Amino acid sequence: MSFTRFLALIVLFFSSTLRASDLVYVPDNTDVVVQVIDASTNTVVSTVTVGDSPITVDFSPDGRRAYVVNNFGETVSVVEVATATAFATIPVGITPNGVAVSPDGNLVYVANAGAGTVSVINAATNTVVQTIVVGTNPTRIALTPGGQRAYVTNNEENTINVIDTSTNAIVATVPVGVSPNGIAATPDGKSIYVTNVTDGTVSVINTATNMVVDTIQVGPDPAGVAVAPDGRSVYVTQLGDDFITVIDTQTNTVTATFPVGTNPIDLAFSTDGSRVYVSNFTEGTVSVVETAGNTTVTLVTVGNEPYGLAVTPFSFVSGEARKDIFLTQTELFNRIMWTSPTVVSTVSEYRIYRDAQLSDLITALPASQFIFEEHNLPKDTTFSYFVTAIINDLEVEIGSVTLKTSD
Amino acid sequence: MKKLFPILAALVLSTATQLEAFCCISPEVEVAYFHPLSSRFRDIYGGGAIYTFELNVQTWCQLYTFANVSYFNESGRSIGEKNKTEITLIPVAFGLKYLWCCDCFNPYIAAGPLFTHMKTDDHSPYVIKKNEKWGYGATAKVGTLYYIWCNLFLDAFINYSYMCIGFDHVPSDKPVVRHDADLSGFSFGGGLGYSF
Repeated sequence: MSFTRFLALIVLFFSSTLRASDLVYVPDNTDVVVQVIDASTNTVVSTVTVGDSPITVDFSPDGRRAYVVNNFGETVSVVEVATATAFATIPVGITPNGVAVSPDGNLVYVANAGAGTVSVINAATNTVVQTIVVGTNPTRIALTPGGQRAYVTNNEENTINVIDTSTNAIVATVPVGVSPNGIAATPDGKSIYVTNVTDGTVSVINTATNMVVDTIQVGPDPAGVAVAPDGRSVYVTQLGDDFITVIDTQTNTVTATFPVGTNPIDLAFSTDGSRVYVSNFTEGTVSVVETAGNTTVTLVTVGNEPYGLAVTPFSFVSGEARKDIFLTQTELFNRIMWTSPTVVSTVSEYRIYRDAQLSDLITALPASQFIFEEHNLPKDTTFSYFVTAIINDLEVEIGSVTLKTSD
Repeated sequence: MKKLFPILAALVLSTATQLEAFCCISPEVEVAYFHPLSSRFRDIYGGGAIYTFELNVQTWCQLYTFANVSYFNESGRSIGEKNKTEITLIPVAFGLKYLWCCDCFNPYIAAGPLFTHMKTDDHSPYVIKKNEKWGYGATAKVGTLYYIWCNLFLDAFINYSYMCIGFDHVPSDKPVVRHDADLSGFSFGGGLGYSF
């Protein structure tokens, strides 16, 4: 058992029931590894070996796979999150950089900076199915929440290419500031925020018109950008002065700035938006920032040059209210599904509760089971389910879901 | 079911009386495609063949009394979990038929009450396995007879039947949501008969 794993278990020991948190994947750009941080303890719990010079990462929507772009290796490593192992390597274009997974998880888009192209990967076969020619030095790529459009930053051309993902054709080219790099879409899909490194600005693109509707002056060398899960704020890393700038998306004005580590290059929000993780490029650390007060709560040491990091939930719990309809009768039932907690592999049992206090146990299930159904339910009734995992005799809540039956 | 016996008895008695009086009787076998109007019925079972034996007795001039019994059986899958289910319908109808005699084609219209016995067999551990009930409705039919040889005739028809069997208030030991079974639909088909 590693020391960090031991520390994690010590923390678990002091509470009978803990809530599972996120996993943060941090590519180490001067190495061949991705460091995995357990956000509940802010410790590195595993290291995944990938290709040469990993630079960015994105997750499939179900959190089961991570796609790591290897900048010098000119490949994409496909990582199984549950086992923290790369099981496939996909050759892409020259010096690939940004990556984005479609919302349905079927396609992966990779911006090849050296080739001036975007590779489209079929996630089922892990092969490149199409290569789209874009502008000069495409660095990052962002998809709208519905996945209909892909926005690519052409770093040496000062433009954004807009790709229609149904045809993979460029439908618009949007002029922005000098050296666009970071790019992120708001959760409602109405706006795209682009960092312009050289002129220290952030361009706001209206996705309905594909025109820049606002340009916000921020600090020197803005690089990474991320939109909070609630869509109310945008955080920008400033390589030049080691600060983060916070932008209010309603007014597109700067509302706060705060310091982090040296050369912050990228950032990502926790799934609940309460924290933001900043990779400090030359310092070899990740700053963990509470978004409520924009204060750094800890620094996590992660190799040499942490780059474009990403966050996925520790475990997914989902559910659906279902019905089985016959001619004269309908049976209503709820189906709850979950994924294995990804790092800890010693789950002995899953438990399903009806209440948040975990006092009303519905059932206990073996570790091999990831689905539970409750049958013969009354109509128009709301049910809540809380799923926990027993990990080394300790109970960890891995998620909850609320469902309403209807005929 | 209790209501049905006196009606059927009256029907048989009436037909027998008419047989004696006019001695013009036309038995007929029919095969038709039943197209249910309920989308739930169609989604579960689709349409299918319905087989009918019909007896027509001349009552007065061009007016006939008819009585028929049909059989429909289909297997299907439930909507959602795709569990196996089977339905058997035995519709019994009687009524009046008016026939126009024009050369070799004899078009007709017919209408009358309809009684149907429905039985379903639903294969899921969470539902009531067997459901069985009688219901009543109405039927209307248009068609034409074509005499092919002597008294042997072919029949081509379209039949509409209205039938809805209530299950809303049927008590059950399984907590399921009950609903009425809409068995209404059109039948398109043909028959072969003989006039005595």
